[in-house]
Amino acid sequence: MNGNVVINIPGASAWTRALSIAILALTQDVSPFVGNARSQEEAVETIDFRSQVAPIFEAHCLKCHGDIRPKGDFRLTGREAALTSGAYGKNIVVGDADESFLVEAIEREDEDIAMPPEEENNPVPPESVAIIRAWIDQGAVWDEEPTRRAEFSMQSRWRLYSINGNESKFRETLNVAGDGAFGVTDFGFLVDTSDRGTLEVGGSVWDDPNRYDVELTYNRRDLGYLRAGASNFRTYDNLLGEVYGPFDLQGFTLGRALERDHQRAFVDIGIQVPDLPEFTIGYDYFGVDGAKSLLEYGTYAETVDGDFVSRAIRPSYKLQDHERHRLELGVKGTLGGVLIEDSAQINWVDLDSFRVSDSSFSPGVVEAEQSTEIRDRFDYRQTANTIRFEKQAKPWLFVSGGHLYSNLNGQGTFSQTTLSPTGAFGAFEGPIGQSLTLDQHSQVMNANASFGPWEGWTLTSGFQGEWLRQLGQGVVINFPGGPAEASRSRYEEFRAQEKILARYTKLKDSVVYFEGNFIQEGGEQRESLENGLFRITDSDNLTREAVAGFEYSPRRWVSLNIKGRHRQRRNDYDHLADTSFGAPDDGYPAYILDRDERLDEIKTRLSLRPHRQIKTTVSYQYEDRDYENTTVADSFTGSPGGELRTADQRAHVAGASISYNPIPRLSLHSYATYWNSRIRTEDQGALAVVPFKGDVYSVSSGLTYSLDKKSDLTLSYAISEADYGQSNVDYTVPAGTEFRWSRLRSRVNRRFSKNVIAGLEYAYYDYEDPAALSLSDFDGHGVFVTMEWRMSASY
Amino acid sequence: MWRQILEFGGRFGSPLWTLSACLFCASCAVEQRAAIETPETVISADFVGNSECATCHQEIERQFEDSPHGRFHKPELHMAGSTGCESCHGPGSAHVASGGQVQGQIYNPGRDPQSCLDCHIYEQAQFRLPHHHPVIEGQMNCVDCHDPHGMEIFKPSTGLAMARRNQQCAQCHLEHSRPFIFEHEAMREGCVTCHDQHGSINDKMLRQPDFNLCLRCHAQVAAFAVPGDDIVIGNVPHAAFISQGTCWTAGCHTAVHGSNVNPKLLQ
Repeated sequence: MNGNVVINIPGASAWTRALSIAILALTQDVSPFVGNARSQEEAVETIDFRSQVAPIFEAHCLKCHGDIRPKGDFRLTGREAALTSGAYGKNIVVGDADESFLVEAIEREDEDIAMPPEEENNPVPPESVAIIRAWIDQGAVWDEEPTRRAEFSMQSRWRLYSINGNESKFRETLNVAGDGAFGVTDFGFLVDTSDRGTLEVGGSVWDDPNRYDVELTYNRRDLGYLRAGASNFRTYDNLLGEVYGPFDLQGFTLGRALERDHQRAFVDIGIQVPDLPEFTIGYDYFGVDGAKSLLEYGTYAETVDGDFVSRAIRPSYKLQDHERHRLELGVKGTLGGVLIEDSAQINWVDLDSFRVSDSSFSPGVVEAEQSTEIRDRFDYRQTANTIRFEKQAKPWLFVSGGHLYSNLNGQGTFSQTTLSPTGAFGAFEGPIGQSLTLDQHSQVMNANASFGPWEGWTLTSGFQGEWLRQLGQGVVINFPGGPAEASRSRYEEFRAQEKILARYTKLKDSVVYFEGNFIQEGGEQRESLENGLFRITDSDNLTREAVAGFEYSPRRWVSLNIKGRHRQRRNDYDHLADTSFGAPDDGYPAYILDRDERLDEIKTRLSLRPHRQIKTTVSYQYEDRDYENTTVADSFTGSPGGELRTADQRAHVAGASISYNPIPRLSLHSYATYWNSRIRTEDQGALAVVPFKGDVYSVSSGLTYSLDKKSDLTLSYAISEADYGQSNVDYTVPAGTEFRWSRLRSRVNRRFSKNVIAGLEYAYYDYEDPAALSLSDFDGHGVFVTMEWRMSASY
Repeated sequence: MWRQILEFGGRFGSPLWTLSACLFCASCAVEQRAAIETPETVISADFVGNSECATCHQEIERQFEDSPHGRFHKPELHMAGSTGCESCHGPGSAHVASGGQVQGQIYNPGRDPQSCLDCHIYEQAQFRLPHHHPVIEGQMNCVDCHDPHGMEIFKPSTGLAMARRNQQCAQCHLEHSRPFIFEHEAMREGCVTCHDQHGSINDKMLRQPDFNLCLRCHAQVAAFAVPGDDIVIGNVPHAAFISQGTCWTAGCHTAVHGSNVNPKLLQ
């Protein structure tokens, strides 16, 4: 700091002024008596904000009182902000340093209000306090221009694929169209003015009109924000149905594309005025439009070794036209130290689905002998309101809670038409559902507390109670020419969930925690069809879960994490009535009396950082599940009933990852996982039911190397392989899979100038699945050219 | 993601960071990446610990301790940044010193799954299976379904501290999560009873593609009165049906999520 500084402190006490002058004399190259040698007018020199005040703010204040999350809402980022912001009144009184809270705080005479806080160990030196005093007394002139800057970036991308084999499987697996395309894949435009707010526009746009993502955000300090955006992405499904090895004919495929657009658009407006609650209003649209594959296959038959064999392998699809409009209002504020947040929303949902499935029954007939079309329409309006509160009641006590109310009213229709394109069978309609209505009410209440008055211990408990009632009814014609009969259902459920969590941190180098979760559910379900079905089932379910976890880090380079979980769920059913078309106890749910599920799981993770440039993780997970049922005896089938171990499931999962930067210009990343799983259900001698078991391993490695100061080379390779093949081909359609899926990518990026970067990339893909008779196989090549431009300016 | 280009592009002296950050991020690449890199961090920054973060981010810090991520944290653990805020956001000293500036001062994962997948390598592998949610492709992200800071890792429904069942899935899967006159009880236990939410080797992200998926609950029983290798489910002989395929692929119980006309979920 150079030059003379003469203190002019109107209103300051004489001793304060004298002290300030003395300090300045000692610390600056200033004579306190210069003023005596000149006239007072000549001696008074204005404090320069940029060179004298701003550095003090930067060194001692802006860490906490900048634009981002300012403490006490006090900002020192502009004159207007400095004079008007702050939750505790005026911090700067222009022309009067003695009345300015800022000065009182930095002088530290009262330690309760001293700033910066003691723990920061960064007090403002007396000479700097004197400068601040003088600056305020001189009018707190803030001659720093508001900063305004604009930035623009754009990345364009051209891509081309060449695919051999099953192109629809390629599209499904990679979620891309699989053809050539050009797009502005990432553009951003930002205008940031410290006084008028910030405008950001960004996103991506492709020459394919079905792929875009654009978002706009405008933030205005102390006023609020506007956010708006629109996006669409397309997903693809494999056209192949099931495959069945013994048949001569292989590979039914649909004669149409299966692709769906997922559209979203939104507008959010938030009003954020200091000292007032925050208000938000938002509108959100979400829609799905297109066709997807179904896992309900149509029938095809052949003669195999002289036997008539029929299997469901023909692909089927569903057309979807789904829309949701959502309007949401919210308010958030603090009252008496309690944060209160309320959100009300209305959803209008319109669902229209149309399913098509073809079948043939005569051996070797490829044409569809029967085609089933199902139209399912349902629309509903759902209103919901949530209110939530939280408070830090004591330093050791945090409480929160909330309530949700939801009301849903829906109506729909259902119709099924069966056609016979070849004329082999008759056409008919049914089942048909008319005047279908559904009303659902639910309420949820939630309360939580986290407290830790004991050294080393923190306890958290939570309770959530839920109640749901659902009433459904309609008119159903179940078969052609059948009577119209009323259908009804009523479902009511109570659910209580308790959670308790205890943490202990006083063990050396360790943290240990215990968690208990308990869920009690009680429900009654009534279902009826006017002409012959009547069920009432009461259910009581109890879930108990215990979790324990441990983190241990005795050295800077090692950390061990272990977590174990045990969960038991028991469902008890009381079948008060179960009649189906005159037959008692016909099928579900009456023949199951209770159901038990047990899960034991352990997860471990070892993290090692033997060197600053090496980060490794090794993990292992084991999962063990058992399922048991108790069923009733049945004289018709000869089932003895009783307790039955229905299924068991085991899984081992191991993984490792490493990141290594041996030299600044080289970065290596790699991970590998292996899991082995088996689920075996009780087969009771049925040869169609076999375990689903096998192994999956997945490896991915990549490196980035700086060829020179302007160029990077990136190589990566990933492979996943599974062998879940099944051997029940004589009894049903094997559903297992045996795939190998690998990808190789290589890319060179080069910076051509400060603002221009270009990249050239090549990718190779290979997918093989012998279990699907290689009908899903594909391999392909991809070439990508990327250019990025970036510009910025301040004005 | 475009914002991260602005944030990271050109901020670091190393050409490695400068170029890679710009041209290899998830949503920029659009196509599925073969490898996930370690999240970008501010190279010159140091770890500061949760307490420093809490001075500004109180609303996150006060619930974070009880969250599945935060319950393993305490400042005295020797490996810095292995738990707590900086395990995902990277070292925060530059961010603190700058008065909370984000741009170029700290890693903010936001919509980028890199930070999550760096530790959750099993989930990373699942996202690379043939049937998966498009997270690596940048069309979804982890925080669409998960709250990394909250008491429940599953995102609270409209502000409540505990999540309601299936609410995350219902945001997009409107048709399957809607109520039905005749419901499938499994829906009350959650979509993840049958589906693996991250990725699967099976179509429609099913946990199993065959009878094993259904029969663990819908127990089949011994049926001495039924000849041969028949299978009896719900006291109904099923051999003729299951020869066609699995419970739903054979064209029978096709309304697996619920039905408005058939109590046995046949349509």
